[in-house]
Amino acid sequence: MEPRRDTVLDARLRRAAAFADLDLPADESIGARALDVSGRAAETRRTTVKLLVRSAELASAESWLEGVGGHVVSAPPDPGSSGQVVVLAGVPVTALSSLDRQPWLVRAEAPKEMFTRMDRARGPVTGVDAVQTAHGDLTGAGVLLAVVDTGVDWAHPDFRHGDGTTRLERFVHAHVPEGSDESRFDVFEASAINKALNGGPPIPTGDPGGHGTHCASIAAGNGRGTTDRRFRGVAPEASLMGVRAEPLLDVHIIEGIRQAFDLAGDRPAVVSLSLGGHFGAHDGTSAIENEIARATGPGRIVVVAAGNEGDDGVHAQGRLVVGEELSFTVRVPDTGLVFCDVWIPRGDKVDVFVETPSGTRFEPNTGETSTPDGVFVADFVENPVNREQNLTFLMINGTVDERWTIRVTPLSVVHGEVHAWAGSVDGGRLMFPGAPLAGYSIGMPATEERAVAVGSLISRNEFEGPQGDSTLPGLAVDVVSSFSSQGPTRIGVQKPDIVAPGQVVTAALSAGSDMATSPRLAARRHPSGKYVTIQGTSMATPFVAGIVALMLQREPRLTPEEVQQRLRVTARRDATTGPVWNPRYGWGKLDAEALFRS
Amino acid sequence: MEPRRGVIAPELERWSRDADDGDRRTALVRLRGGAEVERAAERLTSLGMEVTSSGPGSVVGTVSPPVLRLIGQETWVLAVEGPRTLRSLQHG
Repeated sequence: MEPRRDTVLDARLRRAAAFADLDLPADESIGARALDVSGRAAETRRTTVKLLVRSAELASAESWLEGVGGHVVSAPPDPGSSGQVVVLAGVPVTALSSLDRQPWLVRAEAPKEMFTRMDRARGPVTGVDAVQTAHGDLTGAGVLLAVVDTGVDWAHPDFRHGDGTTRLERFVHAHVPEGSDESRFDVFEASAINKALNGGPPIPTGDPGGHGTHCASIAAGNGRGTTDRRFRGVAPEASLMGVRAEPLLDVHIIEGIRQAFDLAGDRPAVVSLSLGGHFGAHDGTSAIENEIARATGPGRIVVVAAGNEGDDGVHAQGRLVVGEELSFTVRVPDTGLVFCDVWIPRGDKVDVFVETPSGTRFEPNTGETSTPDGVFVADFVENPVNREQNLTFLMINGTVDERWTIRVTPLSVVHGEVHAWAGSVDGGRLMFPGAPLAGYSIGMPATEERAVAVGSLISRNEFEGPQGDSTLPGLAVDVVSSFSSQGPTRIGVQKPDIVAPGQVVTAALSAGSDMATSPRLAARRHPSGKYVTIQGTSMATPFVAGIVALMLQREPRLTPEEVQQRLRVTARRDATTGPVWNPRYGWGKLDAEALFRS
Repeated sequence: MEPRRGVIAPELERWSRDADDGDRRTALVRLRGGAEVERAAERLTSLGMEVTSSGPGSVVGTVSPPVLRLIGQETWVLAVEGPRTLRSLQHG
């Protein structure tokens, strides 16, 4: 059988043209449904078309469009006199048959998914839809995208091909078996996942928490959970790897990064890390930061969430002055195993003490100290990696609202800048009451220079909940989320790099997960039962990871520095961001159109 | 007051003091610049570490208290750390 050679329209446009010519009832036409014009009156049925036009005949194309009631949406400013150019045009559906006969036309295509209802994160704020409309081949194909997190629901339709097989090349379950202190890494290849999908030997549940599934779907879900694929991710044809890290230990994440780059082989790969912590030096010397620094390179990129502690009082700082005592007061808003980590520059000589709420002072020692106010451990060590002095205060069973104090008495000062972070190791919370929220709340490993660090932007204030469209009143759009952590790092590295949509983000819901059953999220679940709307720099990160997958699809050997540089120079800067790097916005708001234009 | 100096993290040192010799837990060994990961992993295995992951700059595995003390004496070891817990960054 010979293929048709008498048309330059793609299949969707041909079906739409046939629909217009036959004047079928709209709801009976596949062509009309495919272009989402079935619900409109015939005279207003119009579709956006990518026209590949001979450069010298661009004027003829514009003239024809004007004659049929169409219009040019976008055309290159300087088309030249030879070769071909792509013109985006609005064309009445009734004119498609006529379009097919135009001598200046080389090819006409309906943009992929152009008329589906988009999640707004992809829309005007970031320009992702515009990019993929203009470059239909930018889908992440050929790039491995790994989400190292709480897992990926491998049974969710967004992570399956049209034939029902899995899109995951590998699923890793990193866990600590009950009653053990040893981590185990169980690896399941695509064949094992497909068998499990077809009733074969079971493998571990994909994502009991739900967080990783949401992230993976933002980066690379194909949106098959709804018929119009409105919630598809940024790189819907990327290859996928999922890691269920349980718990989220750094050693599990490190192994996940290693597995991802190993699996990728010669292919480009991007790892998305929507996680972090504050227990450490915040200077690129922790084990996980070191892993990112050394594992990344050409075609190997790691994207990390900046953190959600922008307004949480997790950081405090002070300056050592001989003769003056420097103190950090921490409050216990919630009990559990909590920490305060104080970093004192090498060369400064100090005495350090822990003072209980009742005023008793203790010197650090190597054992646990039990007091009426709680049990604590205070270690004062020289960190063997960066040689700085580190007081680590760990406390369990503190009393809510009570205040402990870390006192630093300078004996001689060379440098003098002291930073402290407080937080939770296992449940509970510790914070610095009244500390100015002026930077340094960016978490690790986003503090690593070679990681792409991402803050959260509010790109929308509406979402589709169980009772239909919902609006979050008072939520201003196109500004940074108040919770988004601030840079710079302790050693002055300018992070975050960029902000991207992280608030009111609708993406895949892991079946049976905490997110699927939590009453707290009942109002955020989509009527389909397959998607949920949540927020965090966790959500902004896979968005950028998806963008990086598109960049790597086009240029597979981009280095971390090149990726960062391109994101930075093309980022949108305005009155809210200021003209230069900003502790909250980084270098600005993600602008995919500018990025792929450059 | 002088800070304590040593390559073994305090929490691991505390654990090794209190645990039985047969107890095991996960530790992460950081390597000094110039140390080869593969050779380091082999050496750690010979010392009794059950290596589960190795890559640029560090080796992860399980150790007993006596093995931990042996590792701490190796000159090419930069630091031995326990796992650190990270958090998902979903807000609210």
